[in-house]
Amino acid sequence: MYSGGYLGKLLRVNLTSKTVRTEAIDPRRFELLLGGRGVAAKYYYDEIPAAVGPLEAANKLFFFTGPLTGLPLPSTTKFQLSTRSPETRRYLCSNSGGDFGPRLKMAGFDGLIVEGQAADWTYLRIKDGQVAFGDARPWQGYSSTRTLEELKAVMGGGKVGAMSIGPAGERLVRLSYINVDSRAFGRGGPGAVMGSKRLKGIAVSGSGKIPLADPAKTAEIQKAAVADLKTSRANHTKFGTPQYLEVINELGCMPTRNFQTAWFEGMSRIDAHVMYDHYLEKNYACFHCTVACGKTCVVREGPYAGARARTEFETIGLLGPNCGIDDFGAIIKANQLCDELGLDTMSAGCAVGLAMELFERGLISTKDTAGIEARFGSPAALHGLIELIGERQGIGDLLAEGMIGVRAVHPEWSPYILDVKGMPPAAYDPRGFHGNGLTYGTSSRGACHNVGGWTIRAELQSGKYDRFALKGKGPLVKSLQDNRAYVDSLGMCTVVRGAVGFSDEPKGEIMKAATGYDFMPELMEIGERIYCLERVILNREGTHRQDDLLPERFTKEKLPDGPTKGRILTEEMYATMLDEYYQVRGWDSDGVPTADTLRRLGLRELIT
Amino acid sequence: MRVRYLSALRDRAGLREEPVELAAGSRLRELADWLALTRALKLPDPLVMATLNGRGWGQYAEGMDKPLADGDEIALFPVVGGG
Repeated sequence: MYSGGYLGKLLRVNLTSKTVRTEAIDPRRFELLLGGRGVAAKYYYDEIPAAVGPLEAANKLFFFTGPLTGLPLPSTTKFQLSTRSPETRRYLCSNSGGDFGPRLKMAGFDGLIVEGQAADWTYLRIKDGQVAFGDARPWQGYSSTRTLEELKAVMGGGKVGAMSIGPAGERLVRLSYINVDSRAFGRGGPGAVMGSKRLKGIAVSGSGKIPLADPAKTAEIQKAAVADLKTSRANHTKFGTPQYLEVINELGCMPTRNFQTAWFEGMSRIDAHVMYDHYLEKNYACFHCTVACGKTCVVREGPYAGARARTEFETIGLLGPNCGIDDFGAIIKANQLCDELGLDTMSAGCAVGLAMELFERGLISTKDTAGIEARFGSPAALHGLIELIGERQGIGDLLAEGMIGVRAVHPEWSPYILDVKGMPPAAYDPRGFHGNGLTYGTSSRGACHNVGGWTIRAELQSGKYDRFALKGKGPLVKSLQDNRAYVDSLGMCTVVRGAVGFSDEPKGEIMKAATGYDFMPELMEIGERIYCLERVILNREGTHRQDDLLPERFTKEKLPDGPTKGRILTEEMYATMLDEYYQVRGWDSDGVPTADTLRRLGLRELIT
Repeated sequence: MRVRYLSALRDRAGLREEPVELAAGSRLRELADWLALTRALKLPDPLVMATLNGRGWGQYAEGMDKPLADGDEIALFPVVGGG
C-alpha cells in the first residue's frame, strides 16, 4: 500500500525482562491515523487502561514518527510521545524535534515502545536493529545535558539521536521533561515516567535509508520550500519565537505576575531585540531545517555570566513577566537551571509564579521557601524556587506534585492556582483572546496552546469575528485542533509546514510523493478522527465537561490594567463557546462523542 | 495617534514608535498611504499584521475606510504564526 515514508514496524523494549521485540504495524493504522500522534494515541488506547497510574510500571512510553520524519525536506524532525502524564494524571500527547525521530527511522523503525521498569538505573543503546541495556548508575544526578553527552559518547559519536532526563526526573518531579537533542518532550511531566522506569536515557543511530515513493517530486517540493522559507520565515531565522514577546504584550495578553495582569511594564528589557543584540550566541537547527529558529543565548557579564540556554517565547514569558522578572540574564540562568534539573520551563514558570503570589499574600513564608524571600521580580527567588522544585525541598516538594497535587493539599489556594486538567497555561492570557480560552479548555492534554489549537492569528485577521467575540470560536478551534492533529502525525515541524504545502488549505502533494498514497482527500477527517480518539481516551479516564472549564482567575477577575483593562472571560461567556464547540464536534453536552460521530469518523473500527 | 513598530518591524521602519498626525477625516487608507511613503511599508502585506486599537484592520466593518481619531493606537508587527 505504501511505497515510502513508512518502515512498517516498531521496536518494543521491556525494561523488566530486558527483552526486545520487533513488531509489524498494521498498515490500516497509518491509513486511518497517519502516523506520529495518531498512531501513538491508538497504541495508548489499546495498552493503557484507565486504572494505570502514571508512575506505575504498567505505564508505557509510546514514541512514534510520522511518514515525513527524516525525509529530505525542511525540518522533518518531529516525532510524538504518548504516555500517562504524571502532571495531569491523564493521557498525554507530546511532540518533539531534535535528531532522535529521524535516527529511529534510519534504524529501521516507525516507533519505539518502552515498557516495564528496570531493576536499576539503565540506558538504552539502539544501533540499527540491535538494542543494548547499559548501566546508568554512574550517571545518577547528572543533568539532562550531561547525560546526552554521555549517551553520544557510548554510541561512539557520529550521527546519533538521544534523549535523557535530569535529576528532577529521577526524583519523579511531575513537571520533569525529556530532553531530546536539546529539544523537548516538555509538557505533562514525561521525564518522571522515565524516572519511574529508572530509564536515564536512550540513544539511537541507524544506517538505513528511509524509502521515498517519488524522490524527484520530493526534491522539487524541497527546493521550492527552502526558497519560500528564506522570506516567509526570515524573522524566525533572526529572532526565533521570542519575536512574539513584544507583540503579545502590546495586545495585552502577556501573563504577568501569575496572570494577575496581562501587560508587563518591563518588556522592553527582555524582548527579541535585547536577546539578539546582547545575548544571542548561535542559532540551532533541528534535523534538515533551513530556518534554524532555535536561539542559544549566553550571558556574557554580570551576576549570571556564563549562563547558557536555548530559549523560546514560552520560556521567556513564563519565567520572565509571569514571575515579574525583567532581567534577560536572570531568565537565561533560570532557563539553564530548568534544563540541568530537567524541568519543563513552562510548568516551572507557572509553579514559581504561584509560589510568589502565595508568598506575597502571606500564605507561605520563608519557613516554606528555605529562607528565600519569594517575591515577584526577584531573580534570587526565581532561581531558588526552581531549585527547590527540582530538589523537592520545602514548598518545592508540593509544587513538584503539579497543580493537581497543590490543590489537593490546599483547596483554599484555588483562586491562585491556574491549570486545566492539571496542566498550567501557556504565555497567552485568554481574557485577551477568548478563542484561546476555548483552546485551553478543550486541548487534549490540558491548557496547551498548541494541541488545543493556536487561535491568535485567526482572531486578529478574521473578518467574521475578533478576539473578544464568542460566536464562531467553536468551529475555529475545532478546525485548528484537527489541523494540528494531522500535522503532529506527519513528522514535520509546524514552523515550516506552510512552505511544504500544509497551510490552512493544504495541498499536501508531498504525501503522495513520500508514501505513494494520496492522503489529501481524507487529511482533515484524519485529523478529526485523531482528536476524537483522544477524547474517547480522556472520557475513559474520567474526563468530561467539568474538566474542560477554565481557572477562576480567568472567569472571575477582570484584568486590572493595560491594553485589555476590564476584560474577563466569565463562565457564561465561556459556556457559549464550549457549547458551540461540542455541537460542531458532534459531542454531547458533557463532552462525550456521540455514537453517530464515532460511526461517521470510522472510530467504531478502532475502539471496542 | 501613535504608530508602534513591534518586533522585526522595528528594523524595517527604523524606529519603535512615532506620533502621526494626518488630516482631519483621515481613514486607514490614508494611513496606509503615509506608511508606504514615509516608512516604505506597503500594506496589505501577507507578512505584516496591522492593528488599530487592538483589533486587526480587516476586522472593522468599514475596512480601509475606517475613520481614524486622536488617541488611536496603531501597531504593526510580523504576522504571528506558531505556538
